[in-house]
Amino acid sequence: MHLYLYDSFLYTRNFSKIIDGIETRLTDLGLNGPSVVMDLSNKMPILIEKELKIGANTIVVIGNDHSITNAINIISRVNPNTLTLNDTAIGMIPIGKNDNEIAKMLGIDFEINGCEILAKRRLEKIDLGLINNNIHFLTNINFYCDKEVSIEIDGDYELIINTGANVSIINLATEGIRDVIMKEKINSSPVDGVFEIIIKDAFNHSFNWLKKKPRLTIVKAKKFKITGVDFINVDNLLKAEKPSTIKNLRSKIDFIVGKNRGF
Amino acid sequence: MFNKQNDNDILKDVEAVVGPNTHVKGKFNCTGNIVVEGELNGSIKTGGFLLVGAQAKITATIEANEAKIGGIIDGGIKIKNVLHITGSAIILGDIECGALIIEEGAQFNGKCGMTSGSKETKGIKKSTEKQKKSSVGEEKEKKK
Repeated sequence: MHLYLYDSFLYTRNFSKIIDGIETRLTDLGLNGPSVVMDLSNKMPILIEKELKIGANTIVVIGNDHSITNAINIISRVNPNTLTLNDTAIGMIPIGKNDNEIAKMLGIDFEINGCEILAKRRLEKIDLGLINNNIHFLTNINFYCDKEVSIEIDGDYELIINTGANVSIINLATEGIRDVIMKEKINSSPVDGVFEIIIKDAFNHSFNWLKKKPRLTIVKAKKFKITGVDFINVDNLLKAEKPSTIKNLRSKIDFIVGKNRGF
Repeated sequence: MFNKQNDNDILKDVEAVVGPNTHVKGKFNCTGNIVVEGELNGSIKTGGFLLVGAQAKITATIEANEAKIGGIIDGGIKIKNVLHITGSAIILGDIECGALIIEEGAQFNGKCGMTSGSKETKGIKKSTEKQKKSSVGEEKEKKK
């Protein structure tokens, strides 16, 4: 049985035709199930838990990148024993072509065509990031160093980063970051159990490019500790204050993906 | 000697890069190719290729499969196969490697020992051993 989490923006804009089309297609495919409008209240995890106990084994998020980030952080608050009870999988039906980079990377077709991806149920175990044992992220976190910042990596070594650098920590590389990754020939995947930490120095960028020398610092890490940063941007949606420990939760979620996924 | 790779080819398959404005402290262990253009204190260990740029400053012990060094290194260097020291390099420490290339202009203060790690050196060793044996045999025959 599928449980559908609708993002609230679908009810504030004119998406009724698209939603009607999707619901009809889901019924045709025999994938219909209860639906809930997602909010960030404490009731949501309880509601999801109830549905999982009744027999739901798939949670489908209908919305965009922001909806997925919110849903993952809601689902993470559900009792882990209940989540494993039915080997819960997470799916997505992306609505609108903007703010849907996650769907593109996971090979999920947009709107009504996304129903077919759900029906095929091709599962991939995807890593998640966890900040301060509290906030989960799927794609990336980033911050600007307005002072000297230190990152202690896997307890082995420490990176000391100068003021002015931009730091991105990548789990699932979306389009903008993917361009950088392709250019730098970095292997990045959300199923390898490691993050790519990319440090881009703001000052020497063009100078180094002319010299054809590496202008970035790139390292891989399973877990790390940041000192000297007041807040970080999480999945381009949330802000995490005073980030301290960040770790990679390998194969944390079973995600329904398309065959055209980018990893 | 470097599998016909130039610097850009090595960068195509790189696991870690320490950029010019980053400082690393501690044990920097990898399995793939590493590029160091910044500062590093501690130790570097990799089963791949280590490329040290001309601007890099490393105070560390180094262990790698192959290496090309162009910066300042203060510490021991242990390379299983080929160590290429470019003209811009300053090395203060002992070297142990399978095969060694030193370009004109490089500064090196330390001891140098060759291991039998590389195929090339193994081949040279075998041929010299054979030559020794044959020359000893010839001398014995002459004495008879």
